Amino acid sequence: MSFGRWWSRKTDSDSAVVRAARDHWRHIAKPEERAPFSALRFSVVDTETTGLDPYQAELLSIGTCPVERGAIVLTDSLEIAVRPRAPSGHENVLVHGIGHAQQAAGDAQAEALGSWLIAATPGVLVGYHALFDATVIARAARESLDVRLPLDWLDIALLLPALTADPASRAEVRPLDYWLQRFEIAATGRHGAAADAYATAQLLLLVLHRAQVRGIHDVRGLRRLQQDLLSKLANHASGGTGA
Amino acid sequence: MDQPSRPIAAALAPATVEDLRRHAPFDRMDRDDLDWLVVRLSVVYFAPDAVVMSPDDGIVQWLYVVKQGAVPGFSPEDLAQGSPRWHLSVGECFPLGALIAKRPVTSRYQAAGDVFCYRLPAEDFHTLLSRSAAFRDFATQRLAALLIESRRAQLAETATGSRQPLERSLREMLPETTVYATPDESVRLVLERMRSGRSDSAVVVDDTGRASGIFTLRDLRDRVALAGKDVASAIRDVMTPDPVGLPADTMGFEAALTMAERGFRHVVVTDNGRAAGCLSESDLFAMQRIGVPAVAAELRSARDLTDLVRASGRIGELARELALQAMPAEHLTRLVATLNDALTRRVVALVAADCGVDLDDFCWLAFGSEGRHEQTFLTDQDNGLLFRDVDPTEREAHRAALLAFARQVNDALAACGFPLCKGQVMASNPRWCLSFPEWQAAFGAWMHKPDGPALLNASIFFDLRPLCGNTALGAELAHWLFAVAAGEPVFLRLLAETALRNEPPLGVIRDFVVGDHDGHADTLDIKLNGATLFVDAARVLSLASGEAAAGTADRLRGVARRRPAATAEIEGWLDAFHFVQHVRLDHQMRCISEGRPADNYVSPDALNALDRRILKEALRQARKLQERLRLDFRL
Repeated sequence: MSFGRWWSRKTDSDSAVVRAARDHWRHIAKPEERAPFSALRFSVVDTETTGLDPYQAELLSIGTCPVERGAIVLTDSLEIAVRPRAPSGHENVLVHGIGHAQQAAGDAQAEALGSWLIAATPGVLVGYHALFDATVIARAARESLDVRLPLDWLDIALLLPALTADPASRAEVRPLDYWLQRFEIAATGRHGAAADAYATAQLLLLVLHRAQVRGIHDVRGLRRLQQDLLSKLANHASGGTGA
Repeated sequence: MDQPSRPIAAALAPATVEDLRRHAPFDRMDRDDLDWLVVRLSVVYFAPDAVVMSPDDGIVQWLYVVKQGAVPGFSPEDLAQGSPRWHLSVGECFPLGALIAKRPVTSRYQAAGDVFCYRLPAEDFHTLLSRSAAFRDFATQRLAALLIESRRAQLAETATGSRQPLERSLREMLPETTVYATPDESVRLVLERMRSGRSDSAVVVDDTGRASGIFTLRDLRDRVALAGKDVASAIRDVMTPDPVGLPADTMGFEAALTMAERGFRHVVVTDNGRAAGCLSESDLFAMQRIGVPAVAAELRSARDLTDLVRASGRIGELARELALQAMPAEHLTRLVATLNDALTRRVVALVAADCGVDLDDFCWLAFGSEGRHEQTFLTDQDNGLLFRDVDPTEREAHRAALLAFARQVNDALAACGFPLCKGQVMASNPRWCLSFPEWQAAFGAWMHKPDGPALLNASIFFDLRPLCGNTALGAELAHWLFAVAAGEPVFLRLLAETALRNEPPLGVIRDFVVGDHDGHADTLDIKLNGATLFVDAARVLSLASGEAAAGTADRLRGVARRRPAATAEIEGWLDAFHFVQHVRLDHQMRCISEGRPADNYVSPDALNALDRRILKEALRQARKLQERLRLDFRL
């Protein structure tokens, strides 16, 4: 098949999905950050991309797993394949296992992002090492939908150590697999975007419970916790180099 | 434009299906049903010790499947003791019974460690029940038992606030203190200990902790005071030696039966052979107005027909009371049969003494439901007489004397509330007052020439049980019969065919096939179209295996012993049979309390929604049992 089609085909920014997504985004309210967890919808998101640099990488797929009233709603979980504007390098294919043919079969980025936006919002966006996913998605949304998405997602990679650290030892950011093993969460089909979002969503349920035990009952509290941990990590890092 | 998003069907469904498929019943469900199921699931988390579900939550809203972790279930009693009744682990579904019955759970489910569960809304659960046969089979296999249990729990709660003592193990009922003594201690010492322990009995134990005797206040009266013994004597000389001991996990019900049958007022409870305490009649029957042992004692001490008629009234009263307390049908029918046995034995003994008939010369045989220990409130007489063969020249005279005696027994039983048999299956009928070879000939004729009447007779006479008189003689006949019957394939096949002609009254469109019975419109004959389905099938299966069990439940259990792989299936049949019997007893109770004669005509519409559901399920189990019969006999 000819890969030339990718470059020749222009993003149809006026498609129905794109217009609907823009309209949707204009009309939805921001999640109420002081509301109890049980009143909120969380969208746990994971992406597969063509690279590790969030300012360069192209989206290959977006997996989303919603959590409503304390439960993962499997039926609303989705995985949207995205047709990148340029095919990814060979090594990258080995990481995410999405081959060129499959990449070409994905939706055009604008339409994929539009569908995703409608499905995942309104909702508190959550990720694992969330800044990466937030940046890639926000960049793509700005380019193809002309929509500005927030970057301040909840990050399970930060919240879990903050909530599980034993006071004597220092909190450490760990890879996702560490937590899945620690809580014996059987992760089926890992390294697919939806499967990783699903695994992360299960960790979110743990986080919400542990937060409440600690007296944190809203998203604002979680953000504060996340900030505190970040500054602690920064302190440790600078303290370490100073000594 | 195509819908660009891929819902779970493409994203998480395959992995979820694979995950579920590692466990029953998902491993045997159709792919279509699994696909339908997984998109309706959500996943929830429970922190260590979090309550997943409790009786306070109201009607159950979700089916849970343990995805990860363990969920122990605690019944209200378990909570006090701290040890759970069961442990649900990965892949297990709960709470099936409560969901099907649309009621709250009776146990409390709590997370042990971090627990993730799949969760399905109750509404979807019910849809799945109707769309997937595999799932339905699984969910309903132990259904009747679960529901009966729940129903009993509800009833018991409303009636008395706790479970009936007869439904508990002896361990749960043991009094806080038991007074022990060693054989050489003096009566005085033991009595002092009994006084400070506020106990009316002491268990005498040997060096190994085994109970070698029991000493009660009655022994003090009979064996010390009235016997003129000194309180300084050793307790070993005045105790009742070798008391009846029952293991601690025996049900109160069994203990009650033992006491009733053997006339004791105390039993020693044992744990691994060592004495663990002593239970008195009053511990077992504290909550009942009339006790089983009291009625049994009254029967045993009856001196004439008037006494017996009064005592028989007490049997009915007791049975109704126990039924009101929601005693399970199997126990209740067995208890009624046991007391009726005691009554019949007493009647036979009194009449025999009156007529000058030697109890050793004959055996009184019980047939039909009495033979099976399955009597309800509506029971006519089914009995016969077996006598030791005499010289042919004297046989007819001998028979005539026994017939005159049997006539008096039948009449006396009728006076006690057991109507004479319409089909004349009674010992006073010359056809059923036979010598050993005559009975053998009669059974032989039925088996070799199995025509319609023979097969009908088989359903009555093959449920025989020697009741009193020379029971060894009766046992010999039964032994011969069950050994011979197993080797009559043609007869058994016809018996199976006859059993299969009676179909469960389940409709394609309506739930139940109802009809007009004896002027009762839109009813089911719960005996013929219910209990009999199980009774007939169990009889054939049991006879084919040469087993001598006489009760339907024991017969089915016998089948289970020989086919361990089918145990779960057979448990389902047992539960179903007991439920049908339960509905039947309930109905008859209602008839009696409304002042009309008890019958077997149940209107499904008169049942509550719960009972209707279970009855339907129970009849489905009857269908399964018949399928088994069809397979076994290639019909």
